[in-house]
Amino acid sequence: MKSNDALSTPEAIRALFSIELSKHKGFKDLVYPLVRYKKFLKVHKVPIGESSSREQLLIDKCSLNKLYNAVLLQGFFADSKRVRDIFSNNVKRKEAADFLETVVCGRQSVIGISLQSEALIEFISNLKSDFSLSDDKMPNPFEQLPQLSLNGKTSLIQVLLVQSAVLSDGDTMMLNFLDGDLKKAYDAACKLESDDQTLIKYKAIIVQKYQEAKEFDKLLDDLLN
Amino acid sequence: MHHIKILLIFSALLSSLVSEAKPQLSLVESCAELMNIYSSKNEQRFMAAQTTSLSESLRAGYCLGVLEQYAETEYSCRSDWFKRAEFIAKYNLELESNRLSDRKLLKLSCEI
Repeated sequence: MKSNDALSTPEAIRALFSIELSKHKGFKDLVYPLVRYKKFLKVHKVPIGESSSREQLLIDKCSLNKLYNAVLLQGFFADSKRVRDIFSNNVKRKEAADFLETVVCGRQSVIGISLQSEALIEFISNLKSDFSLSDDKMPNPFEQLPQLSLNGKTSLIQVLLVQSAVLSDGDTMMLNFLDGDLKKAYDAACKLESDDQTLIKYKAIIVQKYQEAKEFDKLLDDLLN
Repeated sequence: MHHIKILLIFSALLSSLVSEAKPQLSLVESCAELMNIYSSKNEQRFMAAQTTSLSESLRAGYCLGVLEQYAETEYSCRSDWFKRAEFIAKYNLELESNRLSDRKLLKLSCEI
């Protein structure tokens, strides 16, 4: 019954990363949403057994490189919606590249995660160019996937956020912005003094988004009264 | 012959433009958007602005406008707009087979 052109999720992860998915629960919980989400990967629904009505999702081989890139991006960003957005939305893709360039690049490691700087530079330049994230594999900048090594903290963003004491205002601003905490991003943006053009650009974006959000919340409150 | 063809294409194009120019906003969907915006606002501060798209907020505004306008023309409308929007947003989801017109829904929403 099984097609030769499709793999189960554990088989795909074994083929791509030589990792046994069943041994890493945290990683498993991150990978499955990517596979299950409709219209992200090309998947085939196949019945598990003759007697069972349950179905198994098999990933088409043409989607393996896309899955590979998505798993690498998850190592930085965790949130699977953000990861999917990077594939489909150019603004989100640019944000991700800018974040990696300003916050992550230049660090040899972020507690527990060793980065390979040459691969990371290429990874960022792939994101900044029109490189096809769906068809071609990006270089792997991790010596080991962060999804495997961190207890409870499953991405680099989250690891960085907890070490806030050693972060610059620019780092804090970018991290919180990408983590969706606009208030904290705004507070850091207000303190930020920098000549870095990318940081200055994001400071303006964050200040504007914060003001819009505040105005929107106020309007919603006013309408209720 | 050629001219007639062009004329035909042109008039077809024009009529499609005219029909698209009519508002195609569904009251139920618009009120559902409005409720979504409030639920994301209640979930977390500043969340509403970050998760609402421009068209979603336009739809929500349409619901609000229709409700306000209806209440102004009907003397018997006693519920506040939030309750009415909530009612309309929920109504169709529960009873999809039993579709009511917008006007009927608005009338019912005033009676809760």
